[in-house]
Amino acid sequence: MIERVAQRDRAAFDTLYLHTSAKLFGVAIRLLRDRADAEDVLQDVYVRIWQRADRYRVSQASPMSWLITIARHAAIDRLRARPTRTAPLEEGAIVTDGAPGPEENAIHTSERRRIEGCLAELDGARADAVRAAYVEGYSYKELAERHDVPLNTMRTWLRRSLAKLRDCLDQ
Amino acid sequence: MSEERQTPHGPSDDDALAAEYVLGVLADEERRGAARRIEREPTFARRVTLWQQRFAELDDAFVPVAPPHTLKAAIDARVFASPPAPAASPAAPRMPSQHGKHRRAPTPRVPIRPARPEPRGLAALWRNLAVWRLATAVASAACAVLVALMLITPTEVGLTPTLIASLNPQDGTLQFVAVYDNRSHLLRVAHTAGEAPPDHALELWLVPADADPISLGLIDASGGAAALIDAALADRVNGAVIAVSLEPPGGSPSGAPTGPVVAAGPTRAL
Repeated sequence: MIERVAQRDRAAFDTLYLHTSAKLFGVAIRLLRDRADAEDVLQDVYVRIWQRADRYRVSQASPMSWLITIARHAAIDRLRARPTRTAPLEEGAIVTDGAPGPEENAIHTSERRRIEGCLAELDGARADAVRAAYVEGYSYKELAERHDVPLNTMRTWLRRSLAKLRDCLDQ
Repeated sequence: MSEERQTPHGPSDDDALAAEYVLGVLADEERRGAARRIEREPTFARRVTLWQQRFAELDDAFVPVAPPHTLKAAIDARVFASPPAPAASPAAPRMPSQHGKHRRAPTPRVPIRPARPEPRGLAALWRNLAVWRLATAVASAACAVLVALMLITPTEVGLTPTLIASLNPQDGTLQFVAVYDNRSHLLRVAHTAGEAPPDHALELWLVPADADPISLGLIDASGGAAALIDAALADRVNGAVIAVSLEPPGGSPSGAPTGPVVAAGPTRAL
């Protein structure tokens, strides 16, 4: 009996992997900028997903958001455990791909522009810092270096920006 | 260990820390401290969840990259070779057997052929599925839930899926998942595995306990179906079986299944 259920779960896990692994690998690659590390982390990610699947609550996040959160945090945990980043940081503007992936659909269209709209209300450099953190995995130290300010200044700036973002998004 | 900061944890400090955690900007020790607080403090965990929701739209920026083919085998070795864990984690260190062996009586795998005349006895099916019910009461089938929700409700938050059914192969390899929302009375079905035989329709049925099957229409070409359950039937969905039968093109001519049941499963509360 348990074996049959485990079989069904395994088939589900395979299906989950099929549908999500490219996106999650993309997350790992973007944050870690090292293919070998990204491959290691992706394994950890799917092990965590298997172990935590019963904690997923639909009221808290869409399934894909939940999975991406696990992937982001696994990648960032790895980044923060390293003394320094192995790959050089980019100078200048971040390359972000704002284009929706094939799995996105129209349900979020009205929502999609909200964070863009709210980020647009921030000073350009502040919005850039928020994106650099979320999408590129920059730490406070790296953001401070990137913007050439002391770490405490960066922290104050970011905290103020986050408060503004929250007020804007929660309207 | 001084992961506690010198300043007191006012709510706005906590909210900022939660955002910083989600963004990933904290240094190693602070980050681990925040992670520990998520485990220990539900209020803090809730702040983190809200920040994750706020930033979720930025996930569009991540471009998919296909991982190497070898990776899945490595993952499987870690996930399924580990010893049985307590509570909600799945057990089974053994390799799974093939599809088609889900039924109690061993049967040779028979490819689905057109024009198979004997309909499956639904009483026999029901007896088999009572066995499934027992199984699903015991185990979480957590991944099946996640897959179902993902396939059927890709980016909707705030949906209230109430019941789920894993429609397992009864004859052949077809598998589906079904999710039912008891507020909207909408049942949605998605194909998850197996091949549909050509020149046949796949018809969806609701089989409430001790009642005749009720047609919910045909599975469409993309492998999905959506059915609005009549208000009169809505309270009988819980405890019913959802089944898919093989029918002539256009569906059963009689209003009852005429072909074999290819996939079925009992509904289960989420």
